[in-house]
Amino acid sequence: MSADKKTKTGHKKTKAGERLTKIMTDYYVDLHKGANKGKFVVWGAIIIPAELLKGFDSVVFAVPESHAATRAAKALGPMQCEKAEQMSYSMDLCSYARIDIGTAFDGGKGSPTFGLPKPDLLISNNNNCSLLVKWFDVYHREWGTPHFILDVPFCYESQKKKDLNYIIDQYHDLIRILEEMTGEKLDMEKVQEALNYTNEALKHWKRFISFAANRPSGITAFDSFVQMAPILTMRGTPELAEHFKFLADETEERVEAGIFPIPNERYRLLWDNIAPWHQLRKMSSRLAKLGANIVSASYTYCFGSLEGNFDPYHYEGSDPLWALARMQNTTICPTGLGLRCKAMSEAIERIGIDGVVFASNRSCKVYSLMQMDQQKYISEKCGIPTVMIDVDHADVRKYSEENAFLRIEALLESIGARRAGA
Amino acid sequence: MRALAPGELEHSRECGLTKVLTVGVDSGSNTTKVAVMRNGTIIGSGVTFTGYSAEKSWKRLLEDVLSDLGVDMSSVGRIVSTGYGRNVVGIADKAITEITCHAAGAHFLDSSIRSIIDVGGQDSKFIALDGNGRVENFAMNDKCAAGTGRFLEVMARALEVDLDKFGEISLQSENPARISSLCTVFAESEVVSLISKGESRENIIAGIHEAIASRITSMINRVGVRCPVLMAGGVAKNIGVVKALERELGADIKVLETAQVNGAIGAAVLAAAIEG
Repeated sequence: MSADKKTKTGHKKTKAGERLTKIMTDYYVDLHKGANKGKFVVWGAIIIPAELLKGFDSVVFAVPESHAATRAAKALGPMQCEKAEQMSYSMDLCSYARIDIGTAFDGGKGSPTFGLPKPDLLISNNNNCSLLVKWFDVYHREWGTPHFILDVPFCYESQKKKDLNYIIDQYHDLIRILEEMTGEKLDMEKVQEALNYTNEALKHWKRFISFAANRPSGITAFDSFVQMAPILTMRGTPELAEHFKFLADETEERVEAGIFPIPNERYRLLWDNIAPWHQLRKMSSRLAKLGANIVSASYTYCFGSLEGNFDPYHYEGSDPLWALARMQNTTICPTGLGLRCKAMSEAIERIGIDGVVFASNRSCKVYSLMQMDQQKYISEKCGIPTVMIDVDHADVRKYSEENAFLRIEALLESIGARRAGA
Repeated sequence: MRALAPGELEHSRECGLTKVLTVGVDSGSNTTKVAVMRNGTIIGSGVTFTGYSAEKSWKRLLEDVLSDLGVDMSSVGRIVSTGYGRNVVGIADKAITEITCHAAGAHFLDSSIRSIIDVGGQDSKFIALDGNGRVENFAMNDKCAAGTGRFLEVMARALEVDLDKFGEISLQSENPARISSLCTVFAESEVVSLISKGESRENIIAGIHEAIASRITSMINRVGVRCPVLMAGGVAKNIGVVKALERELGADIKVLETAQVNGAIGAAVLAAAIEG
């Protein structure tokens, strides 16, 4: 293995990290190129059936949430939020929405990706981010872009057949609309092929995040947060499957070679909520100095997993629309507390977690609302210390580093005291 | 607390115990506190405003406390720092959060204590202890000044009343005013409005204390109160807040003379426990 390239901050970048930068750059370049050539641009929520869009050669897919997260990770969040605030959007709204609205109405200025090409169709759903329907409605109002809203029933248990059929019916509507708007007939074989690529990618994603169980962990959750970008934007592509295979293989090689991100790991933590994009490097470095590693996160293990399961859903070649409807019931937001607790308890046991950091996120009420009850459940059922900190996933102005670290350090001290007393 | 007896330190030195003192430094947002311990006894402590330079404050305070004891830094062994400025105390052997330090301080002073309410300059905390004095759970205020010492400072300024007199004045109230806003700035506007309507200072101050107590009680209920309860931090000196909290919680609250230096005492106790 050749010497690792160092980033500006001195952090060693893995080859998969370098590769990620390249494939994401290629993705945004291809997106803009496609739009310039007259391709049909869809803006979608992160969990809409992206694989279905692969059945149309003329469609390119953009994900405002992922684009906003990228801006926040590049320390551009406040600048773009302020643009929306100057248009009178409240500071209390989700920072992803403010970044996206600020960027979109400023023609992509200040975005390294030049923003996103203007959409021909908006597709939102209400099973992950309930705000997103209203957020996309802004573009519908301002630009007159058609807006397809996918209604996914909330779940407390395994998906009911009538709910599954209800989602499939909506997919048929979506296909009809796409065929009418693009003038192209859906190619279901391409959808099936796309599902196979996603399936392959999720298999390797699972391999990658499972290196958290190694002692010391082979990964940090911060690495996995960053590597999530193509799951959101490139589902159903061979590039995604290849990249996650490369990522998992490289991680396996590093673990076998004894290369660990936090070699002196003394505390193994789990993170609950969306990544604090503006703090990734800062938080991981400060934790590393304390011998602590956030090894896993509900945000990263929820992708591809259904209804409180830790393992990803495995597509076995059945009807693509049926499989895509099943995949709407991912583990975190569209599920009740019981299923969320089930998935987290399993992660804690499998990975070997010492403590949980519940990050109450000012921007994401859907993710945060039940955290207090989940914290109580996990503390009692798993018998490990937990802590609640305040964050905002993309607006650094609503985050206090010292306040957060006081609580995290107190959590580490509690873990230490329990070990000493054990 | 007691001063060193004449010849006590010299005797220790003759026995080969040169570094006989352990020190806790609590560098808080508003005030800095120091506690000095010897042979399991707290022998000195002090409080000063943190001001612009946290480093200068703790150094000067420590020198003063040691000087009052008739000793200097050469007698100091282990030092533990705590508080928001815990990482600026460069000579500390260890930085420990005030959550753990308050627990250690409370357990050292009264081993029956099972929970602590700490209301300081910029935050408020509730800490539940297990039977061995270890932190079992805790909760803190979120990013808001309501329910903290800063809230009281702002209100004292609006009412032109010395903060030290707040507690006693509020006890004279017969009909506390209602302060409904959770935001310090909005609450200040409410207070100004009450003043203009001719509401008495006693009733306004009592209303402020009830608002703080209500806010802190919400935080306490996230963890669940356990008796006996100790109150620590500078706001514990305000009898009005203590009484309002007792009413809200339906439980007695112990306030020791050492309330404001409880975190520093805990730091000194933990310093004494450092091995090597």
